[in-house]
Amino acid sequence: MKEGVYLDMNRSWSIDDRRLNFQFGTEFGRRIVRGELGGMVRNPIYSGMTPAFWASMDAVGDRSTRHLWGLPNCGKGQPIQEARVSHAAPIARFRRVAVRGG
Amino acid sequence: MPRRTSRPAEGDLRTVLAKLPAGTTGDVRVITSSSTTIRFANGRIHQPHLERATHVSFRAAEGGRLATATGSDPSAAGLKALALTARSLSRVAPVEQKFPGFASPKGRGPSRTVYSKTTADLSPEEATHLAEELLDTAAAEAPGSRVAGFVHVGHDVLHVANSSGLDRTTEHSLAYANILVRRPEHDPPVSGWSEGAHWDAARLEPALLGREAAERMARTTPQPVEPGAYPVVLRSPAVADLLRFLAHLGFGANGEVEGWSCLGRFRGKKVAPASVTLLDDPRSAETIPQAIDYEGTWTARTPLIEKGVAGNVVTDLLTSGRLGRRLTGHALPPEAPWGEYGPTPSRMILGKGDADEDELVRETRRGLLVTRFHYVRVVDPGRGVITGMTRDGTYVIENGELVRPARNLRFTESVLTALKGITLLGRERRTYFDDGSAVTAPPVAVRAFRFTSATLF
Repeated sequence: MKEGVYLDMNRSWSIDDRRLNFQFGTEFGRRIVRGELGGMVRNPIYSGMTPAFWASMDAVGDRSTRHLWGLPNCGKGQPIQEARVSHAAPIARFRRVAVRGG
Repeated sequence: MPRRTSRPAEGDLRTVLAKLPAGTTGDVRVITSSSTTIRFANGRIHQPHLERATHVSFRAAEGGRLATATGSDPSAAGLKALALTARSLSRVAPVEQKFPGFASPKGRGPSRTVYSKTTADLSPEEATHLAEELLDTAAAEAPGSRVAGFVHVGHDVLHVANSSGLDRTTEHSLAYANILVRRPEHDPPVSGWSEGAHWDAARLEPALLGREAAERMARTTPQPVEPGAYPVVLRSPAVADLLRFLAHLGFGANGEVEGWSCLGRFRGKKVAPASVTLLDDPRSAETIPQAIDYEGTWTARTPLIEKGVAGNVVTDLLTSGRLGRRLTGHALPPEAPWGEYGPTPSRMILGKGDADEDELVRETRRGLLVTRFHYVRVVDPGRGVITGMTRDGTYVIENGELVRPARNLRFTESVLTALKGITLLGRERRTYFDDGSAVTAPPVAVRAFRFTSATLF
């Protein structure tokens, strides 16, 4: 990648009720310049529309990059009902994603 | 079916506390609750649910080390077992140098808080009638729509005792409901929303909520609106959401202790127009009253913003010691998993103005009316920046009139900017309840509110 941003570990997440518009903030981010990690960026946020975002994915990491992530209290229903959830995911590359500082 | 929960046999809390060995102190909470939740979807009740529960938590302090054990057995044997576990766990806890000790029993209690025995005694069948009234009204006002929501009616008894001799018991009653009216076959779909809460189920007004939700649903196709900063009129459910985040980020004690509070630099300074006064008032009949906190401290009216000037954070025993500030009676249960923000205002009341909703709209030349927000999350706690979507009734205002429904937008804005930009407050307040926290608020008009992207419906 010639130029981009490396983002790690979501710390803020919000999506509309049809799961289309999303905005996530991450704990950590670094610039990518000519294929190398550069300086850290402050409070990075990425956003987009779900179908276009996934259509922009052009590379997926190998098995060594895959982790099982989980959450004990994913909120469902009203009044709130909680469910344990988990997803396994590798590192991935996406093109033309809107990224900005929070 | 018996109407009221008979409380389980409870051991003598003071006897268990008195038997703690020398050098060990503690406090204990027994919460006995009974509630009925009637959930409905697609116009029919689909999940009626009765829940009776007993929760016990025992916190021990040994050598300044604090630990808590929780369970559901309030008998003498159950309490004794929890005390033993809490003492064992305390040995691996860090020393809390500034813990001031458990709450004092001294001082006369303030006046009683209001409570509805009728609500506490409400049968599941009577709770069902409230849900049916919501459904029937919405069906009559918006025939052919899909209707979903719930009614929840319940009560609890909170008993707190500690080794300093404090022993207090209070009862709370609660009724709350929400309703969503949708036309999913429209492209894009349209929807309307209403909700409300009261300590007295007789004053929940289900017919009003059902009618409001139907009225707030768009009759024409929502049109796209360009993201940007707009003047907004926020209906009171949207205001309640913003105030909850202001409470967490600006008036939660942990933010002050850890140095990330968005109001940390602004205590005693002007953060809003003089028309804005925000209290945390758990003793008021205008909220869901709460007489004591989970450490047994009497609750009290606590000014948060007085005529636009920011006040201090609220505290529990530990954070009052850490900050060297007055104890305000805002303790959560010590085991609360949501303790990230620490003690937080949970019975907020925003002062009202004198405008009705039509006047708020009339005073807006060009802007947006927002019924409520959805999926609001923190983006930058230190600046109070949060994000979320509009939902279930967003309208474009032009020349003081609602001219068309708008497709939903994402906002990314600081609660401090919104607070500072309040230009008008409505006169009709309503109470909202969510996740243990009540907010009583009017609708407000805000000079500029930043929307950063849009969605397709």
